[in-house]
Amino acid sequence: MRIPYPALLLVSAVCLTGCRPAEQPSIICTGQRKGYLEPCGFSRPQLGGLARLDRLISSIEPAPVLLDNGDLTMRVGRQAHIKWQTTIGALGMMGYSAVNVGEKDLALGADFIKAEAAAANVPLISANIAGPNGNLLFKPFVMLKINGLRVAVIGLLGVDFAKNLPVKLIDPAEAIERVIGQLKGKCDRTILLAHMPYEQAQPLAKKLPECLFALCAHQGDEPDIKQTTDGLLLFAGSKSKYVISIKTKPADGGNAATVKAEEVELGPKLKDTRRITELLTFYQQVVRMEDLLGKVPRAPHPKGLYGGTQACAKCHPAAMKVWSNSKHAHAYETLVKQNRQYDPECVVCHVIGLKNVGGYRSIEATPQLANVGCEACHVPGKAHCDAPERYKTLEASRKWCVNCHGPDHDPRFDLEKSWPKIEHKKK
Amino acid sequence: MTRILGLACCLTLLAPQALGGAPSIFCEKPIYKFGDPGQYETAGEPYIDVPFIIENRGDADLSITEVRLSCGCTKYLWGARAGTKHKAMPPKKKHPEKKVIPPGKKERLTIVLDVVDSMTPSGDDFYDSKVRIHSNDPEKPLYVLSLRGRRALAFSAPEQLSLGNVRLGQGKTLTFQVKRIKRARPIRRIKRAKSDIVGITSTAPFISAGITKRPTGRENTYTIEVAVLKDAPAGVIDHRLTFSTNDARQKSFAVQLTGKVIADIDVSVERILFGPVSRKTQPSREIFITQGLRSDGKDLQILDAKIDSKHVSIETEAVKKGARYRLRVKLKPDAPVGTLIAKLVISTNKDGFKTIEIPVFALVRE
Repeated sequence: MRIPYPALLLVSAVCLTGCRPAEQPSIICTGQRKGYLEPCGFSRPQLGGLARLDRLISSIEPAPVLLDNGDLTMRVGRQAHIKWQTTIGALGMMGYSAVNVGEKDLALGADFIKAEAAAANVPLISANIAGPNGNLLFKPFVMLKINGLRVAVIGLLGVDFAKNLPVKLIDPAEAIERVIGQLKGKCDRTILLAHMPYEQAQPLAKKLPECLFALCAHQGDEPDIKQTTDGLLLFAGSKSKYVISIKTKPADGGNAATVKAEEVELGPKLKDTRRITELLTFYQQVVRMEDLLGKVPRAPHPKGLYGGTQACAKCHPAAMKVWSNSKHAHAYETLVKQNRQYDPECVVCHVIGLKNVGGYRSIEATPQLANVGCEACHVPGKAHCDAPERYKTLEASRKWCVNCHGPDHDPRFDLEKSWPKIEHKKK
Repeated sequence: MTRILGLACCLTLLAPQALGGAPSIFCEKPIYKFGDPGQYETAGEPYIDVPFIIENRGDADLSITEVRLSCGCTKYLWGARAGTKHKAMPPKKKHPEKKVIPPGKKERLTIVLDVVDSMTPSGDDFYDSKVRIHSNDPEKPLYVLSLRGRRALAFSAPEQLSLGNVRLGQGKTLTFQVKRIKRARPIRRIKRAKSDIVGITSTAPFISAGITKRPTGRENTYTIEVAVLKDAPAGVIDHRLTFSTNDARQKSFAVQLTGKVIADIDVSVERILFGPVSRKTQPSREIFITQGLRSDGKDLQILDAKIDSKHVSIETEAVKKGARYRLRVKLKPDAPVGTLIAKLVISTNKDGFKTIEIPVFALVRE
């Protein structure tokens, strides 16, 4: 029998290296999305987004167990409510097994998040959030089957994070004792979703019998994996740019399980899934129909009102020329191309003074304030336009650039390189 | 013969890893803690050089294919000496620079960190910049170094304040506290003024705020009074107070205000959002309409509830007749796949609330 050489090569390689098909993760952990539904698109490549997460999850066979550590959104208010509904809907589609409740979730109202999570078929858990009567508001844990093992996933919220919320927080150490009592003989392993930093979670995880790992929160911005003598501590990072992928394998005899955790970036190689793209388009439609742009809370600016970019051109033609050739002059246009011109969270960095009285309202009402015009950096200048000798404009500070060109929106931003592109003389 | 040749080829291709020789990346101190960035700002030294010594503890060449930085506040240089002062950040590299470290050798990777101009903290005032090193180490193809710091805030205030339910025309006043936090000690002693709140602005004309008690002596607590004025319109309160300070490191901070101004009628939701829902299921949502002030002396009555979509049905039920009603909004199984946008119009007997409009959104999936 003749064996073809390529086959021989492959067989030899496998024999020599002991190669096996890549082991698939059995658990995917996320957390502290903080309202980041998609990468902002300011500059590329950016990480994160629900659609990439969905692509990653759907590429894993068999389907992994999905756990989230809460804080789906960051703020309170109308847009935060819509975002929370959208996010929990997406997590429901992906098949999340548990979401631990964070303080940002609670800030939207326990009744609201409970109703929305139930509608999306996503279990919310917390073993220490109680109502005024002392009764727990959520299930303390969920029981899951992972690699044939009965695993209890327990949720806890750190006491420092719910100081101004209308709930009663049971001491996490006390809550964990109660849960241990309830779980006796019912599970083989435990997982702790601890909405708190490492130092608070570590002693709690130590108390739990056979704890595979503790997924923590408020541990900075970037994901982290820390093996301690007391167990494995994980942090999936902030704004869901990464996930922690966990491979579990029961050892022979099933007495101990080995856990291997690694961070996986949600980068552009993961193509957006259609179903999440549709959901985000729907989100944008709701934002537009609700006129959130028109409802942006506005505070008076201490420097007064805006005059509009064209008003500056008369006396500052040289500066105007530099500006006209910069990307700042087309900032609104790029927003329209992405169909995000009705989303206040996007619009704020593409116009002048969205959050101020007399600032941008809409392209119809205030076209002179569209794009990143002069007053976006030099503060409102109407008074200066009316009486230039009496009121001086302010020098723009390089520090303000990062308000929009921050690491989340513009990770490759290089101030030294970008500054000369917009630098101009006074006249 | 040819089969033996094939096997030999294969062996050559798989060496050296398959034969036991492999690189191994190592850094003795992979985490650098730089403390509070504020200390560098006051000393006028915004750039810090952080040296990481990368070692190859394996027995094959360690080939570093990419050094990826997590934020624009850092740049890297191979071989630069620690303690080098940079007046400006070194330029960013256009292409990833490859580096080969022979077995048993070390290389200095210097991270230049701009702690003042480019750094923005995450929500918890953590600064956590990561350096991800991609290499041919078979065990650790991704090796992560960290630069960590934490901003000491100048003031501590609640992120949000619930004003609760405010009765229309009656207004409400409540107080809360803001604390001044002791500043981090700068690298060099400099003279500076004590941190202070210099102004408060509100995004709503019907909400005012002021400082009723300033800290004196060694005290550090401000008492702030917030007043919802009598002319506040009915509806959800979604506003904020912005505090301006004289502290360069926290020039402003905000407190989000939530609550509701209740008139004769209180509607539990502003919108109905179904989504995403599977076709042929019948998801439902509830709206509660409750008697509020009863300023006209009449009991609440729901006269009618209509929706401009044939794919949505409404059921009205009295929870407590004359005081509280429940409307169940149900998506019918015949709702087509795609986006559904409709308007629910509820008619009541209350002056000023003859009609209440609630938008209904649904994303129906196959």
